Amino acid sequence: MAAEMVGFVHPSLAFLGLAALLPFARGRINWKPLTLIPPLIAVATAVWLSFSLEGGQVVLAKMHWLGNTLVLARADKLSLVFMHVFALQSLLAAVYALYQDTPAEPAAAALHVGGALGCLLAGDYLTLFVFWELTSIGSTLLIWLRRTDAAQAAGYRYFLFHIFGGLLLLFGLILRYKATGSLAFEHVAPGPLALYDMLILAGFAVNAAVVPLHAWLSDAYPEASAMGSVYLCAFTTKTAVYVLARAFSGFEPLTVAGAAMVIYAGVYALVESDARRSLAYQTIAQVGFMLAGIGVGTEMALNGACAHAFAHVAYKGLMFMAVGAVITSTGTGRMERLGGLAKAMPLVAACYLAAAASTSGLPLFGGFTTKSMTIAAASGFNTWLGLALELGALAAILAVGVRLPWLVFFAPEGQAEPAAPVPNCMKAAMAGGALVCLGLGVMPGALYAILPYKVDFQPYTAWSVLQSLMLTGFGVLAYMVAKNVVAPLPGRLADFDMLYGAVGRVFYKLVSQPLAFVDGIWSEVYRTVGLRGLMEKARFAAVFDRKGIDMVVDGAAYAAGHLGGVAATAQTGRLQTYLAASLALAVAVFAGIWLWP
Amino acid sequence: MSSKYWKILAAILAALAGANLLVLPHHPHFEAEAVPGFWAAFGLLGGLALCVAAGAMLGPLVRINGREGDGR
Repeated sequence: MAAEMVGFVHPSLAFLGLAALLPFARGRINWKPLTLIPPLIAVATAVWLSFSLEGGQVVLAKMHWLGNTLVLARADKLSLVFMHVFALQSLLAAVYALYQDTPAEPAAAALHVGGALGCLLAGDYLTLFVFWELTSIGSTLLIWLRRTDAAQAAGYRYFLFHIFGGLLLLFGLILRYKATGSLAFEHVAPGPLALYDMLILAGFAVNAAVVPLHAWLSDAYPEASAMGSVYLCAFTTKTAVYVLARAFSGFEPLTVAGAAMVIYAGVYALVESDARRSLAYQTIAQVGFMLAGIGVGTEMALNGACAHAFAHVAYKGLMFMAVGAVITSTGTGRMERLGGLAKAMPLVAACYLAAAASTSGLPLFGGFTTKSMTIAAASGFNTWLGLALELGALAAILAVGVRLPWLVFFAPEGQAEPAAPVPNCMKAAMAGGALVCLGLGVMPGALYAILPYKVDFQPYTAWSVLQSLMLTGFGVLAYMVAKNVVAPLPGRLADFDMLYGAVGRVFYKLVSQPLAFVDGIWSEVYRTVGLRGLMEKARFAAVFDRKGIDMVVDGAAYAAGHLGGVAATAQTGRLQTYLAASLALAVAVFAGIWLWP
Repeated sequence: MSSKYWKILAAILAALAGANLLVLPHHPHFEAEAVPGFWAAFGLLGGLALCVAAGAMLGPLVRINGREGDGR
């Protein structure tokens, strides 16, 4: 279908407009309802495009710049499935965030979401890069705006990492343009990659939190505010999943990276004591599922990766909402201080359990109909990959499906008690998120219909239901037997961020000490040789100034004064003298002309 | 967990293991999957292994204090 036949408003414009407006809105207008408008536009646009595209790809907006055609918006089924869930989650998160009394964080969130939606629709690398950076700036502001020392520090580290990833992407796209003459953001043929594609892949990998480039995520997400972490968990990594699916599907090393993420982060999530840090590690693990599907690259695997990204945005967002509500009410997210909150916060507990059922892959909930598709495709590709993903699924069940809700809601009561009520907007958003999780499990056909490829997968069979129940049931037994081994402890675990710090310090020493040595020698040489030379030079300059410059200047002044005196005496006032002088001059001129050879 | 809940859990798990004798995969992803009780054993032993591995390997790691996310 031609672009002009598709009515289109770039949803990023609405979000970026809101981000620009909100900083000036405080005290002047009732800004809270405005935060719901861009998400509603995004939802409407996603639905409208789904009905309009008829399965093809269409360029919706482009511009010419420096001899290049930039595709500002291009939509197909791959981008639309992500656009649907981004729009939906932005609406739920905006409702959740209505408790905010100042517009700063909603403005940062709008910038973040606007950038992410722009990435989904970008048809060239330059447009992608611009929106990529906007996403990073918005998310960094979201972390900083919690305004604690820990948030400032974590946000700074987060920003450094994303600058690093952005630079890799920028170098890659420049080299790619130089080599191919094209900025088009298209699929790269699997196989050995050119250097520029490796750089682009590495830039994407940073945002996808691929181990060992992942520690920014588990470091920063728990430091944001309740609403901040709800936004952060949904958009950054899933944007990276989308661009990887777009450009690098079928690139088999991604299967290894995905399996490593699933196991590594799954184990970390099992022992972290901060509820949101545990969720953050599980976010990395679930992105690993998606990367494994992208690496396998078959139609079923890509469908599975996209479907799981959709479900994960919904249920992980709901988990962060529920834990954010607990933090809002009790003042802490530390699991060693929490416990027994199900009685005091039944709605929050019920909503969290809906998300936990999804992440555990229980029938009737989202994860069951999406994760199983990825695992089935991965098992068909390689048995060990399938088993690694099953082990990762078990780790997810243990960590955030059983351990977290047990410690927060059902274990004997902890020290922290609910002190503040949970705002109604939070409750409404959580209820909406739980309905989405349930809907994805009960009516998977609606999701399957918007996946990139035709779905030939039946999630509900007697065996798949039994297998999922056995894995979860015996996983619960394993946790109950071994729960003291993974009991929450004070503090947080060291991870690769300590290694980054150590590498940074070693680099600093390697650079600073030789430089300090060279600087010391240079200072000595300068003091003994350079300074003396400089003083001689200064002495010469002073003499030259006195004897040369002053003399010339003074002499010129004296000569001008003398000449002025002569000229004054020559002006007698007698006409005869002037005529005689004029005649003498004329004769001299004519003689010169006449006699000149 | 009280003994009542332990009994309920045991009954559910026994029912699931019993059902596994009757329901088997038509197209197993690998041979072991077709053996009754495989996923029960995978869930239990895998879960124990993950807990022990996490507790044993990550427990002794350096813990960083003073940066816990407690805010709102």
